[in-house]
Amino acid sequence: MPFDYLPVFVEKAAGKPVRKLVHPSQNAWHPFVPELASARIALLTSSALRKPEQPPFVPPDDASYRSIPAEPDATDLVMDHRSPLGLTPRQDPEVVFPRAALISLAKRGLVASYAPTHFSFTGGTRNHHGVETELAPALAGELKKENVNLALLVPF
Amino acid sequence: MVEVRSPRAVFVDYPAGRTFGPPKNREQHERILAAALRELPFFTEWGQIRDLPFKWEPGNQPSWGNLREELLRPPLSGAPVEEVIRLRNS
Repeated sequence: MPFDYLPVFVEKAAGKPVRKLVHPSQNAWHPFVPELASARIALLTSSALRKPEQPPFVPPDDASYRSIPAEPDATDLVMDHRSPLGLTPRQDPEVVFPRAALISLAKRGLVASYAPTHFSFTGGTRNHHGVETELAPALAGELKKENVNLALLVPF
Repeated sequence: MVEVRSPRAVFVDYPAGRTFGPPKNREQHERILAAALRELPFFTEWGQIRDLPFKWEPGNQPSWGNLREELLRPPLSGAPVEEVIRLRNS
């Protein structure tokens, strides 16, 4: 079932430049994974969610990111990703950015803690060089500052 | 995902854009997040994708059947992207 909609993507992309599959230049594997009982987790989303007062993302080549509070009640979110699939996340961002679920798992003791800030950026980009040389290092720096030892990226 | 070779990836067989399930279903969001995190110890090398055992319930909306219609809609405008571009270029 998951691949049934790939021909639809091809149909929708008709007339646009062909997307190229890009391979990362570096190995992203890190052998260490913390025990969940000691994990400090941050969420990353490529759905271009942001706080209303933050500067809008400009898809598709924007390699910037926005900091989002871990507490869902702290702020409303708006979504700049323009995919028509965004209707559901605009109703409930939790379907792609599960902040409330993460807090609940922490309260239940499944994970040790969560970072005070999560991060959002624009997916569906063709700016692969910017992602690898600007966005990823900047996000890594932010995660390090928050003492995060486990990051979960939910692609959109 | 196979070619990009994420360090550790799990797959949820849900319609695109609803990774954690139907909107407002907090229990389901939590179940999927917990299941994803519990897979972590089982990865042994770069590029593996592990399937999570969740199936989209027929009663959930939208169904897989009308996902085509949803995908072929025009892009959403929502946030004022065009306005931002206009201001940057002015």
